Amino acid sequence: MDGTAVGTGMVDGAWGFVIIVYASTWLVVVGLAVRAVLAARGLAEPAAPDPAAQDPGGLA
Amino acid sequence: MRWEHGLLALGLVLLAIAHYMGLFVAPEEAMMREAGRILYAHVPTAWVALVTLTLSFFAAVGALWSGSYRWDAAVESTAETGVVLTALLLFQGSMWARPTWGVYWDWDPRLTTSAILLVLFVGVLVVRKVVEDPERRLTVTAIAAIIAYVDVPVVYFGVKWWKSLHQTQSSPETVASTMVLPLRMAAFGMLFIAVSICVMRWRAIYAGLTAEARAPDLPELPVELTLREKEA
Repeated sequence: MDGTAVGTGMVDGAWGFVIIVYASTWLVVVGLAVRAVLAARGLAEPAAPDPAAQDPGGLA
Repeated sequence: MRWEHGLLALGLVLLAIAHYMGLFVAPEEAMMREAGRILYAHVPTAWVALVTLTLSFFAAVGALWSGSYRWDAAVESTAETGVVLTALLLFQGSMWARPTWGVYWDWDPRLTTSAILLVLFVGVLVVRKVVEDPERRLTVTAIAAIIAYVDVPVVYFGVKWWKSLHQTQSSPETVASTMVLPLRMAAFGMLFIAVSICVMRWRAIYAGLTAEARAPDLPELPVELTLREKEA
């Protein structure tokens, strides 16, 4: 039997696939959340002073 | 702490409870056995991915209508979240297909149109990075997002139109109540997480666009420097 054909599944012993799916879901969700929270924290911090604005001989 | 942080925390708690129930409390599915537990992660991801891309569509219409960078930032934040969720749902679906269908991938209409959806919205984000002029970028991104969104109803209704390998949508009438609860909790958990992430990303992207609009144009290079560079 062609093991790659549709309909030749292995319904038993699927726990490995279940664990991979749940682990990948949490990896993505936590990754997205951490990235978004870090970006939000960056916004909340006061911006560093612009060196060009302080330098009288700057381009401005 | 902003409201979206609270929403994110609530979403994570809901998703954790739903996944615990899906893994250990809900009964084994009659046909799919343990593989059926994948649906508590896969189905909510699919629902919320389509919802997020729908928000992107409305943001694109708003951006075109108003020309506002607020809407423009919303297109990007929802599109990038939707792209990640669409990639995740394709991976989850592949992991579900192997033990149930026997293959990781099949050129079934639902799978194919979902893959096309991912490619289209990745294209939207690529276009956004390529176009430098902010006004032109707003218009081009919005038009690209509206065109890409045409595939969303095809993904959703395709299983009914073509009656393919992928099963049609279930409803509470066709699913046992012990399975409906973790499914719904996971859906709301994913929705809250996606919305809070979109809002946080929207704030960051909008701040970037505002800073870009306020930044003065760089002055021309001094003539001497240009000449020296030419000589070199």
